[in-house]
Amino acid sequence: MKDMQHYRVISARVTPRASCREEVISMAMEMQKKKNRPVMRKIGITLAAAAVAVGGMTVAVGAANDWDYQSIFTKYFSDKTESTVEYDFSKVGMDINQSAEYAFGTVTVESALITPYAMYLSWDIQLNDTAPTNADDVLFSSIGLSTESGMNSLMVHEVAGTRGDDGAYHFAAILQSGESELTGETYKLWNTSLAKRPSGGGNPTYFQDSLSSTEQDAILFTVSETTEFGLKKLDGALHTEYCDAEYFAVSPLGITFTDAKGADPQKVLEETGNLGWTEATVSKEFAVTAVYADSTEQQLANTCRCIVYYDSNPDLYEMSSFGYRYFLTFDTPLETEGLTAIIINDTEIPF
Amino acid sequence: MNREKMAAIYDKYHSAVYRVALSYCRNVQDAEDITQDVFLKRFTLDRIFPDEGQEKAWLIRMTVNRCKNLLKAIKRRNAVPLDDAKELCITQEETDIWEAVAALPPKYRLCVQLFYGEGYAVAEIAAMTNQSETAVQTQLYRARKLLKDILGEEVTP
Repeated sequence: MKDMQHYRVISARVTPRASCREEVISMAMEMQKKKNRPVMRKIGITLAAAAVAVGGMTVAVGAANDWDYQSIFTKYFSDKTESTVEYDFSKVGMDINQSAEYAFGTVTVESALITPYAMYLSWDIQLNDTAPTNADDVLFSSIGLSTESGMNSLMVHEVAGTRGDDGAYHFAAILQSGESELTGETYKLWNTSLAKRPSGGGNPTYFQDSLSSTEQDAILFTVSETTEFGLKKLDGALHTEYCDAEYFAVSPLGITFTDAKGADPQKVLEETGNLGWTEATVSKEFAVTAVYADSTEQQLANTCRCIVYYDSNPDLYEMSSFGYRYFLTFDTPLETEGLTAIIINDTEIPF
Repeated sequence: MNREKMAAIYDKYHSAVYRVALSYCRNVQDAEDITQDVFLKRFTLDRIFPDEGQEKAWLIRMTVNRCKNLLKAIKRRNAVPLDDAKELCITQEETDIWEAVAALPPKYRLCVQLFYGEGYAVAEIAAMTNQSETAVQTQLYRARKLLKDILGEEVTP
């Protein structure tokens, strides 16, 4: 019989470099200094108000700014709709426009729309000469954001980019938070990577990999406040075989709702194979219809993603709760004018 | 928090944090980065822990979270982590055991590290890794079974 005491003996010999100690303490001291100088903090710009016309992808921005909503809307809605919808993006649109240098080129995080549990992020990648691509290559970018504290992170994998006239590749994706609200956090870029794949398919080729830890601080922005932009929380209950929802946050781009009953950890484990970690996702079928005062209806979605959330309890030894948080992304943006109800499957929720 | 307090916290817990990080990601550079990230978080956290056990458990839980995120990213890049710590072994038996543990899937490796390497009880590991005690026991059972397959004989419970 092998004595596992040997493992403990080997483990006891494992230590990090001696210089790690000074490095981390110096970094922490430096961060403390920065915190004491509020003017040095990079605060994201909150726009006063802006409107977007989606029809024909014409972007009409109310105030002069660098905010680029178009990449987000192009990504999600493209030419799927001919309707024109105006939205109020006050307090949720952030013009970030910060860049970081990678071996393969420059990554610029352009902008974000932020709801309490989701961030619609757009970013560009301008390749340099050492990252050759063919014209028919499809580029995929993975991007992650970590809170400055490192406590939470958001990540999305292999988002396909579109090449712009300027030669840069444009990406947009929803980063969903199953664990905690996005408000009040400062985010830095974390684990961004880029791959290319021939348009006909095949294995991806990864470019030089992610940022080093020191470079990760290159992009920082703070989410000071979020709202249910343009719309509101709904009162109602949704009873399905999947969930019993109590919380609805409706935006022009989608609906978030949370299972009121929580989830049985054993069932979550069986379904996702991963208990308590926010990357666990399952797909559920939902039909969502918007009903208007003139009795017309708009079909909004028939699929959604679901994240298993885990309400972190700061006291490790107390029970925490598990549950499902659903993110329905609409196939077409929601028109808000004259909206009277949202129907999810067979349940009508007055608006 | 002042420098002396930071140094005291680091000196007390850095080995355990680093060991858990290394056992999970098997790469010295990644383990050091994670160790620094975790302590940075601790040093900027305005919180007093009721006792050392809870503080250590919190640090290890942060470490596990960071490791899982990192491993996910590595997996996406199809990168193979290195086993950088083999040279720490002195005898052949130590090398055999170290390599056998290194060959386990990450979640089993983590349980083995926390149970055998750090000496935590099953209930404590369950709290740190957000799992039930039954799940931890199952992982330890499977880890021992895999170790037996690799080493050709049982390991001590």
